[in-house]
Order: sequence, then C-alpha cells, then structure tokens
Amino acid sequence: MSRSRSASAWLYVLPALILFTLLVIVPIIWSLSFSVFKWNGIGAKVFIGIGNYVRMWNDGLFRRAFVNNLIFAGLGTVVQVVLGMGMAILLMSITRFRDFVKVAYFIPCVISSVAICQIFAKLFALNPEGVFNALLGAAGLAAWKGAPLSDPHLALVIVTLVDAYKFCAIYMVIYFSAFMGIDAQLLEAAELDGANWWQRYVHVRFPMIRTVFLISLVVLISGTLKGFDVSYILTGGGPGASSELVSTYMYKTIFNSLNFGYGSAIAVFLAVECLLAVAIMQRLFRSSGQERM
Amino acid sequence: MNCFKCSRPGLAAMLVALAASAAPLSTEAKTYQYMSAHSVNDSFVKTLRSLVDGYKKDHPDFDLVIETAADRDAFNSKLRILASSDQLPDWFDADPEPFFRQIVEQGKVIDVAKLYEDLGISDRFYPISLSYPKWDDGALSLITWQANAEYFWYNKDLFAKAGVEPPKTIDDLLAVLAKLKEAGITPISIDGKDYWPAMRYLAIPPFRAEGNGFIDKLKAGEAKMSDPTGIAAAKFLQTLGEKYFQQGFSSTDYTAALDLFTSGKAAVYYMGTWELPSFLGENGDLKPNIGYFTMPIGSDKDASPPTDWFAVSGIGTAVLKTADTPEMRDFLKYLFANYADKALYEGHYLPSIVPTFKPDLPPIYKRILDDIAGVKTFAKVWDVQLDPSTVDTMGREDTNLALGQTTPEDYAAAIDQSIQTYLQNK
Repeated sequence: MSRSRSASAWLYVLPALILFTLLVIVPIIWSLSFSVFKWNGIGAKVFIGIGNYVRMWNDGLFRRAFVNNLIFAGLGTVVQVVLGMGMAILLMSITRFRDFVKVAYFIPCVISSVAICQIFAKLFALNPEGVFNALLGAAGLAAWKGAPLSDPHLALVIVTLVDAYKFCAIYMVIYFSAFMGIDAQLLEAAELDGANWWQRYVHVRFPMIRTVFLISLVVLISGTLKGFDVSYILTGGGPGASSELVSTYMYKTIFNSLNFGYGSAIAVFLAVECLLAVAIMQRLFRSSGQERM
Repeated sequence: MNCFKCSRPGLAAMLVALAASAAPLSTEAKTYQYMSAHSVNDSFVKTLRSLVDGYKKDHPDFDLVIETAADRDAFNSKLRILASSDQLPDWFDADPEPFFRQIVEQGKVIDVAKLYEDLGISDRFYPISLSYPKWDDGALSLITWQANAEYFWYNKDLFAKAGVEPPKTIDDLLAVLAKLKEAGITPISIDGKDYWPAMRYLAIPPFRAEGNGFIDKLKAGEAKMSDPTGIAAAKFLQTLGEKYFQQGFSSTDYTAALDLFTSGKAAVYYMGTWELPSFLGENGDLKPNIGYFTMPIGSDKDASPPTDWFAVSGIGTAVLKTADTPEMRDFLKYLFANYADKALYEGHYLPSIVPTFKPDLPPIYKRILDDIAGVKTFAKVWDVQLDPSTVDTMGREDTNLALGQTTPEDYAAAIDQSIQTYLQNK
C-alpha cells in the first residue's frame, strides 16, 4: 500500500478512532486511576495502591457475582445462538409474510429493557396473579403456583432467559443476512448432487457462515459478560445476591455503597475480563484454522 | 468582503440591542433549581408548584424549577454524581445520612435551624419534623415538609374472620399472625423490593428492648448485631419472613404490596401515613374495614414507652448557601406562611407545620396529628442511621434471612463485618 493510500485509510478511520478513544479508552484509564484510591465521591481521595484489587479477591459477594455472570454468559450465549439460528432458519424456510415475521421477531430488541422487564415481572407475579400462574392453575397445576422471581434458585435462570429473549433477534438478523449472502449456485450444485434440506445446511450453509458465526460469538460473550439492565430492573440482583452480576454489583458499589474506588476496580476487572475472553476466543479460532478476526 | 463591510454597522447595532435586551434578564430574573426525590404526581410536588405559581404572581422574576425523580434509586445516583462533580442544584432532597453529612461538613448548605429562627417559625413545626432530620449533635440541615406516623394497618373483616384483636405486645403480634395464617389468610403484605419495610420489622424488638440506644451503639461499633438483642431481631424477622409475609414477597413492589392489602387479600400492612389517602373512604375518613395499631410493646421492661414508635418527616430538602439570597428568603417566608393548610386541605397529606384545624377536617387526620404530636422519642430509622454500604448489605441480607437462605448468626456476622469495614475506612 502506498504512503498516500495509507494516509487516506487512516483519515477514514480517524473519526471512529477518536470517538472510540473518548468513549472507551479514556473512561477505562479514568477508572484505572480511580481504582487505586479510596474515595466516596466527595471529599479527599486516599491513595491505597492495589488495596481495592486485594479487597476484590477477598470479597465473597464479588465472587458470587462473578460466578453468576459466568452462568449468565454461558447459558445466555447458548440460548441466544440457538434461538437466533433457529429463527434465521425458519425465516429462510418461508417466503410468504417473511418480512412480517422478521419484524415480529425483532420487536423485543427495540422495546426498552424497562418495558420488557415490567412485562415479565407481571407475567410471573403471584399477587396479582400473572399469566404464568394463571396457566398453571388452568392446567390443574395449582400446587406449582409460585413467585419464581422470588426464588433464589430460579431468579438467575429467568434473568438470563429474559435477556436472551430480548436480544436473540439481533443474532437472527445476523445469521439470516449471512445465509442470504451465500452464493445460490453453491446451493443449487449441492441440491443437484442430491443433498437434502438438512444436508445443505450442515455441509454448505453452516460452513459458509462460520466466520460470521464466530464473530457473533465474540460479540455475544463480551456482551453477556457486561450484562446489566435485565438483572438490575427485573430482580435488582436478588433475591439476596442470587442474580447479582458483576456490572450490577459494580453499580451498587459505586452508587449505593458510595465506594467509587472499589467500584472503579470492579469496572477495570470487567474491562480486562472482556478483553481476555475475546483474546482467548481469537486464539481458539486461530488454532482451529480460522483467520484472524 | 465588501458586503461584510457594509453590514458591519448593522451587526454592531444588533449586538448592542441584544445586549441591552439581555442585560435586565441576567441581573433581575432569579431562577432556582430544585432536584426533588418525589415523583411528578406527588402531592407535595403539586402543592409546592402551586405555591411557587402563587408567589410568582407578585414576583414574576422569581422561579423555582422543580425536577422530579422516577424513583429513589435514580434520584440518589444522580445526586451523588452531582455532588462528586460539585454541581449540586440550589435545592436538593436528602436524608440525614452519612453521605449528606459530608456535604454538610463541607459547608455547602445552610443551617436550617438558623433559617427557621430568622423567619420566626421554629415553634410552628411538629416536634418530629424538627427532631427527625437533626444530626446527633443537634444541628439541622434539612427543611422537612411532612409529619408522618408509621402504623400497622389492618383489615378488620379479616381479623374478625380469624377471631383476633389488634395486638398489644410483640408476642401478641406473632400469635395474631399465626391465627390469621391458620384461618387461611395471608397475614402480612410487604414491599420486599424496597429495603426499608423489612428493616422496620427488624428494628422493632431492639427499639422496644433498648430504645434508640441499640442503633446508636451499632452504628458506632459499640454494639454488634451478633449481640443477643441483634440476634433476637434477626430471629424475629426470619420468623415473619418464613411464616407470615406473603408468598413471593421479595419480588413484590410497593404498589403490588399496597394493592394486596387494600384489596382485602392480606390482613396487616405496615406503612406510613403518607399512604393515608389509600385507606380513606368517600367521606374522607378511614374505610370502615380498615383500622390501625401502633408498634407493639415488648414487655413491661421496655426501654421505650408505648407511645413512641417510628414517626418520620419524610425526605428533607437542603438549600445551598449560594441560593440563600434575600429573594429566596422572601419566597420561603411566603411558602411557610401558606404551606400547612394547602398541604392538608388541598394536597391531603400531613404537613410538617401545624395547620389550622377547620371543622370539615376528617377526624382521622386530627387523630393522627395528635398521635404525632404525642411522640416523645421517635424510633430512629435504620436505613438512614447506618452507612450506605451497610444499608445495602442489610437490605440484601434481610431478604436472605426472611427467605431462610441464611441463619440469624451468619446474617449478624455479615452486618457486623460491613459496619466494621465502614468504621475502619471512615
């Protein structure tokens, strides 16, 4: 690439780079600087070095939130990939009303998290009785009625599934677009060779969208590791800390407990955790023969 | 270029005209900002707006812009960000808790006791409205707007169905709740999504046993939650949670808990009189099937008299020293002169200032205000007394305790640890 072409390429990249620096890099550096202080938001900051990181290591609640977050990310990723892929395949299989179905599936993505959480809170409510309990009653399973959002063993699973429900259509659109981009001649050739519907997916379509799929995995995992809104709004991280995630714990540490230093250390941990996850995935993809993303 | 030269005199004239028209605005118009923790439809906000509008008729250059909050968490977050960036509004709501204390210690807000003295209105407030927001050293930094008692509201029909009477002692309360449950009635409706209602139940046994001494010593690290008084409190809350709170209480919000009681599906509901309008009938008095009783006593060895219980004046309002201007003082004089009656007769809530008692005032209001006037020492509210980090821990652990997810001993250890950490880092 000539020097002038290189310069013009940098010029194209520059606006996004400036924005990214201002909105991502600067806040991370800022958090990093706060994380070595003890500070309650007003008054003097006291330098404590790695004290906040040592505290994080010994904080049982943080460990609980971290484990919850891993479950949230793992389960959420699987559900969103499966649902997104399933919906994309369904869309590929229909020709009539495809746009209507696509829009219908996509609606949860554009509804605010607050509204979605309110809907599910009412659905699962016991008093007044929500749809979930009403259906159990109608099915003769009144003994199973309950308040699942108040159950410490169910709250995290419900939070994960509601989050997956809200965002899975994004992956539907990504996979559907990838499927649509596959050269039709390839599929025709496979069909002429006698491949049935399922074989065309397994041997042609899935391999052809492998890169898109892997990129979507990176986006999904880093997104779910930073999950916040559904847990915070639907259960507030509770009951107790049963659905607490790292980001909700960080928020509460800063704004409820007024520990800006410790909260910033958790924010730094979150950023490093996401970068690490992406790096590990890139390493895995490369070792499996995938090009660098 | 020529064109620019030609238009220069015109431009200069325009700038002069603009400057002339803007000058009076910048020197005379006084607009103050009030960041309120109340919601947009709150009766207090409507009352204050109405009074601001009334004042503006004679003082068109004065304005108090009220910014309301969606919920208390959102309000607290915003206030703390503004405080940390030194951008506090002229008026802002606050509780007398440790974070606000630091703002006070920085000398940013006015001395409200001095303000009341200057305006000659100190003796017009209910005692609770003066004592609730006071610091331990007696200083006053918050204007209060309400005087509220907290009662156990109960459904008379459900009590009759279970054959029980309002309890006098804590043991009676547990017996009454047991009988209600035996009769197939949900004994208690509680808003478990918010932390404070469970904390009130938790604080009842210690207040009766030691008065405010326990919470005073607890927050200072001189007493522990793992002391016998604290453990007894934890066991009391766990008993209530495991046996008598409604199923799914931890995900029940304020409105749902209120509806559960007002629709007759739960027998007892602990709530402050700010919610009084929900319990009133068409005649403005209590609905015939609703009654109330005050905090039960522990025994005849109690440290606190039966007439003392939780009474609160609601979240208060601080005024920045920079907003303490002659115009603001004049507005406050007008406000306090007209506030009490407007709050009681138009807003239908209980004001912090003693109102005029008109003949058409429903008896329940007079009764409650008499109750409030009779409180000698109010029970201190734990979620205001303790540091924010411990409040957060306590709120979370209260839920675990009430759900039976932790033992009273482990619960107490978590609270003690949080208080100890706070005191060490203070």
